[in-house]
Amino acid sequence: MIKKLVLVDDDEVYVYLTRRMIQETALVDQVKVFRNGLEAINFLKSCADQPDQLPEVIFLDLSMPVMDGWQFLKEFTLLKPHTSNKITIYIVTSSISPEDLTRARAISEVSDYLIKPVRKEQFIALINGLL
Amino acid sequence: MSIELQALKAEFFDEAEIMFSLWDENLICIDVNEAVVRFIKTPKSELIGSSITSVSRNFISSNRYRMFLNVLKTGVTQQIEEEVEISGLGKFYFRVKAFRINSSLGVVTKNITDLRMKINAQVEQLKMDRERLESQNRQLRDFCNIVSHNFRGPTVNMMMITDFIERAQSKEEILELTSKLRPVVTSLHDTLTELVESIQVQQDTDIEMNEVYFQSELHSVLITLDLQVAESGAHISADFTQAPKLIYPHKYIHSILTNLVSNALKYRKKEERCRIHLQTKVDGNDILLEVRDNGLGIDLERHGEHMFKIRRVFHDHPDAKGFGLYMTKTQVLSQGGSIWVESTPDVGTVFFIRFIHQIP
Repeated sequence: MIKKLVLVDDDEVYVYLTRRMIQETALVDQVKVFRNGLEAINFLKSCADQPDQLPEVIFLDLSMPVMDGWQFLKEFTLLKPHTSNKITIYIVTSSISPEDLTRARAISEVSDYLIKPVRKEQFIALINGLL
Repeated sequence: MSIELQALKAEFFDEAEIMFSLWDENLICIDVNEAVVRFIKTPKSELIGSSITSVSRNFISSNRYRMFLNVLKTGVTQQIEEEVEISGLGKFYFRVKAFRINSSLGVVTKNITDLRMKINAQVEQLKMDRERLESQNRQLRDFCNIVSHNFRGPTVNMMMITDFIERAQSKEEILELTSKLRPVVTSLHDTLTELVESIQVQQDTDIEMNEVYFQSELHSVLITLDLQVAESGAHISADFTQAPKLIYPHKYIHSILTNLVSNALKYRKKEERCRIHLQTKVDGNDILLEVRDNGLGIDLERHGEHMFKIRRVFHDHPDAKGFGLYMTKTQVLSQGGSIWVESTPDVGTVFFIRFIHQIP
């Protein structure tokens, strides 16, 4: 069981469905949602030194307004040395473009590139792998 | 060599279509064949004994001159192709071969103008074909990206909703899940419609061209945007005196102006009166349209590469759909023009459109 998971995605329906799926697994205590990279990075900055506030896992969408997933990762790389916990980031996107995949592989902060939909069984395996 | 063979060779020399000439080490003419006489329309008697520089003007600056001197010096046969402007006769392409015979210089000159013209025309055609193919390739790549980025999202949602509905335990649950389908289906349908429209623009190469006055078109656009203009209290000004009209598909120019003006209204600053200024300028044969606002602006370093892509939005605005600029770009490109943007966050944005071949 993990305490906190952050979803960064502007697709309200997808967020609703993912929340539902995560609830069914009962593997996560609290799911927090941000509609774009900027909201998410601002949150992380605000609690960088509070280990109990930081999420263990981030599900990050790529295509979002204001600040997209790539820019979030850039900002996160700068923030990472100042955070007190290890945060595992998964890109979760509907893009099947090989270019996006290659680009994601080159970023060390990204643990994996998941193509939507992330199904329940896959999610369970993922979280169990972290524990 | 027998007398007969020599006579036969002399016959070939004069009957040949190719120009033969023979020069001494000071490039004074020793002999030319009939082809030379026919081409430069000067009697043989006048040519023999003349310096090459008096036969061919600007000869000293030509590549052939350098080659001739070189061949005389080294004895190594050489060949070049050169474009030659002959006064009164026009431009020619020659393939010239020079070789040394004892201390003299033999020159074989072939007029390859027709061949060169044909090749040039083919090269031009190939260049045009390549540009067309490159643009089609780009469109195809864009199309693949759109399918990958914009159709998978809603499809995934529909799949997940269907899974949940299948496993639902109660009628209420099914109703709740069904209500989530509406926005997904709408988004999918809108993207598809937009994509089809943009493909129609790319395909519609025979679209009717009209004479359109910027001022009257802006007027009609502002009537359709009446509500937004009134709500924003925007001050909209225009100066089309430098280029008042253009020849363009009426439908496109209406759509372009509508998109740019409505964007400027949509992304205005709350704390400042919205000002939009439209202006046309003449640039060579083209018309440049500028649409300038004092709105929110956009961080181009961050968003620049996605600015004109379908379904990309940059502001957290409820009406941002990410279609207007994609369509505008598609329409502008379909007519051979270009569109670009300059912007500073919190200061404003200027869109530029180049309408090509408008000024005779």
